[in-house]
Amino acid sequence: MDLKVDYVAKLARIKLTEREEEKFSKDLGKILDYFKELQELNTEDIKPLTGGTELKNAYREDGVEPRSKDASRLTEAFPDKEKSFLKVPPIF
Amino acid sequence: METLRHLTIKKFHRGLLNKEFSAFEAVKSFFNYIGEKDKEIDAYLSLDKDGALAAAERVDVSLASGANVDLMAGVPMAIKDNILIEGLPATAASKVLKDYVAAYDATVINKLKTKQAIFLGKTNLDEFAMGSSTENSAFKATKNPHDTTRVPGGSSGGSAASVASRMALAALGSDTGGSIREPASFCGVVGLKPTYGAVSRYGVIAMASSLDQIGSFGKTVEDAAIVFNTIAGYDPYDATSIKTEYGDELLNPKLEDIKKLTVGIPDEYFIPGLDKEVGESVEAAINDIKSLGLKVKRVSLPHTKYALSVYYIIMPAEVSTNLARFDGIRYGTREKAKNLIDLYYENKGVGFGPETKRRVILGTFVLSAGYYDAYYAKAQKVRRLIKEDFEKVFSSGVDMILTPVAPTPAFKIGEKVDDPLQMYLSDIFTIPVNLAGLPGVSIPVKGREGKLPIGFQLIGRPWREADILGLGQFYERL
Repeated sequence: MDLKVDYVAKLARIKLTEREEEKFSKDLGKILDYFKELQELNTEDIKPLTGGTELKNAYREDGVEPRSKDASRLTEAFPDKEKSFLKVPPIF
Repeated sequence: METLRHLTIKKFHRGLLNKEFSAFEAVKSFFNYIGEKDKEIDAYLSLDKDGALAAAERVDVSLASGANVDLMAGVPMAIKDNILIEGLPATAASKVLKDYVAAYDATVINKLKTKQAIFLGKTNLDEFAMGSSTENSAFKATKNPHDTTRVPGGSSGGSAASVASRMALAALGSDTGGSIREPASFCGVVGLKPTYGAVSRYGVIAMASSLDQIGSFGKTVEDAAIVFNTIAGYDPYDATSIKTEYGDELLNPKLEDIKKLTVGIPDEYFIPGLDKEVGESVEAAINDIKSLGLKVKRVSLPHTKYALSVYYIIMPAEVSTNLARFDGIRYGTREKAKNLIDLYYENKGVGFGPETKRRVILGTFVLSAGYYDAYYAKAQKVRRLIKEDFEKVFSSGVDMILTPVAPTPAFKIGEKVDDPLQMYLSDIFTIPVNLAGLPGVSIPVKGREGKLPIGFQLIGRPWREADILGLGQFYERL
């Protein structure tokens, strides 16, 4: 099987326990096996369907509009802050 | 007052207008009942008693002033907990959002508030709407009101169970691969997944954006149609929202129009794994529909068998990108970490449940260098083939398609939790509809009182909710 769960977990920035790694490796192995049926289909000339609609460039005016009666709810949701500034852990 | 919970939206409205009860009394009686009944069902994650009663009082003031109030005014509703209501919790049944309070209203909530609908509370779901049984909730498992040893279906299990057990008059859910229709089938209520783009997704916690659609639950097809009519419409805040008009036929279908339609029955949906009782029930529904005068013919959707694979590539890919935001930076729970990169690992490692992690890993893998073409790009191509299957059938004189909703009735709690592939198979008949962006409704098969409910699915042409809801309304009246 190609899927190395520990490597993919690193790409996804997600911590897994050893037990989870083992279980997912087994589960996902079965699931990837199931996907093999897609190889039966010749899709060479098929254009991929890339979304739920085939709309292009759904633009709107870029401006400020009040969507919340109380904008402080946004800053209240910060897990950590100083005054109304968002605090994050150090990068290193 | 006891029977108030059993009213349809129109009868409830009449009751309000005739002063048989006030909105305040109605909402209060719902909370009294929830206080008792929900100990058994566990449909709600949180209630907003104060807000709902205050809103009900405002409806009573409008009524007393003689103002014209909408059909939805005072209607006590349950809202899936992945849809934002300003000032109320929105957990998506995830530990990572257990203390999150929504900062704004989803567009669907805004529309319902304008019509003075009442929100009783937020309902349980599989974490981030990922699952078919509501067992993946980080908080509790909801029980099926028809048999509390069984699952209500999922992911909108709380919403379906709340309507089925009469703890709400109607409800909102979201449907990415069957999350409205499967629980509707298991709980014996009506569940509508609208055409992709018909209802704004602004303010729903995104799972897989090219598939997600908000829809309605009701005791009757008419109720589901009334709620859908209220929440549908173009919204500039959702770039995939589409300008379209739904006419009077949505709420007032005419039998002479519906009679002229042709219903297709796809061979590929009547598979060996289909439960015998499901097969027989769907057969009975087909016969009833014939008796209404509609033409029924066999059709073929040849790429159906690939839908599950396509879905379990595209959906996790979108999940893995959408859920990257739950890193503990701007909202949600923030785990202790010595630096930023550690925070990312910790927050998702501690905050996400097993199914969420499994899908993030799978989605990250199918998008990763070296595998993108073999999995993701391939799935997108087959997705087009699946959509073209439907287009071919709809251009051959068929107006809608009738299928089972799920291969079995509601299964036992715990029966499928350890085998994800078995769980995924619950959605094989609903997934193609999301991949093709079509409207689909689950309607309970008649005459199953005292037995586990079974639903049948009607799939319509894009923007033709009026066809499937119209036929559904006449079927119900039989």
